[in-house]
Amino acid sequence: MRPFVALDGTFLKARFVQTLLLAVGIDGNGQNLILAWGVVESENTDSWTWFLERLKQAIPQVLEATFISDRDKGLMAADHVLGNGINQLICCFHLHQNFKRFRNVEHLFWPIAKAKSEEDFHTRMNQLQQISPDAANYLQKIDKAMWTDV
Amino acid sequence: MNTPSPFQVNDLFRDWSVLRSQIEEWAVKDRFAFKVQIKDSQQADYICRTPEYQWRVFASHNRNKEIQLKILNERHTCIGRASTIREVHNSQSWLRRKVPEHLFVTRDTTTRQIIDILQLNYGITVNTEAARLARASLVNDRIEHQQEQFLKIPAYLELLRERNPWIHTSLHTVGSEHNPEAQHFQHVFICPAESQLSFI
Repeated sequence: MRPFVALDGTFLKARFVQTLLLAVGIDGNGQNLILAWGVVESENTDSWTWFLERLKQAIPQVLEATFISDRDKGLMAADHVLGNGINQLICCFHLHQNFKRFRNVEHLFWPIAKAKSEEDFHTRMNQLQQISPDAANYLQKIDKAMWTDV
Repeated sequence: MNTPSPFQVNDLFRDWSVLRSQIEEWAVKDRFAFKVQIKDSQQADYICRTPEYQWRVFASHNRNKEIQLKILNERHTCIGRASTIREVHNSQSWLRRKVPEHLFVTRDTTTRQIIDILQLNYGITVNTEAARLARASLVNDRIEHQQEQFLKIPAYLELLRERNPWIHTSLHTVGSEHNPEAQHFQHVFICPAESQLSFI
C-alpha cells in the first residue's frame, strides 16, 4: 500500500488574515495524522512550492506517497517539487462541488466516479453526454485515472 | 427622553478613562453632547456642550487618592440641539472603542460597513468623515499589532525546538537581515516529530 497524503489550504479568519496550508497523512492505526502545517500569505505557486520543499525535507518518505488535492492552481503548478515518483489524485468531494454548477445532472457524478470498469464508466459518461454535453466535456477534460477507479 | 443616570454622587472609578467612557456611553444612548471644562491629574469636569444647559459631571481625587464623583446634574435638556458633528458617536475615542466590538476591521472593510453596523447596533448615524478616520486608524493599529505579533514567531519556534528536539520548523521572512524589526513575515512551516515517526 502506498502512503497517502492529502494537501489543502484554508483561510484563517481570526485575528490574522493569512492562509493555513495542511498536509494530512494516515498513521499505523488508519487514523488521520496531521503531518505538517504552514501559515502563508495566500495559496499560490510560491507558497505551495515553499511548503512542499519543507515537507520533503522533514519527511522524505512523502516522495513515495499518493497525493490527493482539490486541484488548486498554485498547488498543481508546484507539484514539480515532489518529482515524478508521486502519484497524484483529485479529491472527488471538491470535484463534485464544482460539478454542481451543471444543473439536473448532479446525481450522475458519483456513479461515474465509482464506476467499477472501463465499460461501466463509458456507459455512464454517455448517459451524461446525452443529458448535458457541457458537464460531460468538463469531466472528460480531467484525467480519469486521477478521480476514478478505472 | 432622559434615561436614568448611570452614576450616583460618590461613585468611585478605577481611572479617568473609565469615567470618560461611561459618560460617552450615556451620551450616545441619550443623544446629547458634552465637553471637557477641566481635566488634569486631580479632577475632571464635564459639562453640556451648549453652555446654557445644566448637565454636569464633576469628579476629583478624594483623601484616599480615589477618583470620586462629587457633582452630578443628570438632567440634560439639550437633546437634538447639539451640533451633530460634535456628538460623542462621531468622536474617535468612542469609534475606536466601539467599532471593534461589532466588526473585525481589515483593509477590506469599507467606511459604509462601519456606518451601517453602528446604525444597526446603536440607532445612530455616524458622520462619514469620522467613520473614515476611525477605519484608517483601526487598520493601522491592526497592521502594527500584526507586525508586533509576527516578531514573536522566532522566539516561539525556538521554544518549540527546545521542547521537541526532533521537530522540523522553518520561517521565511523578507527585509533587512541586520535589523530583525524590519523583517516581514512571509511563511512559517511546522512538522512535529510525532508526524515524522508515525507516517507510513
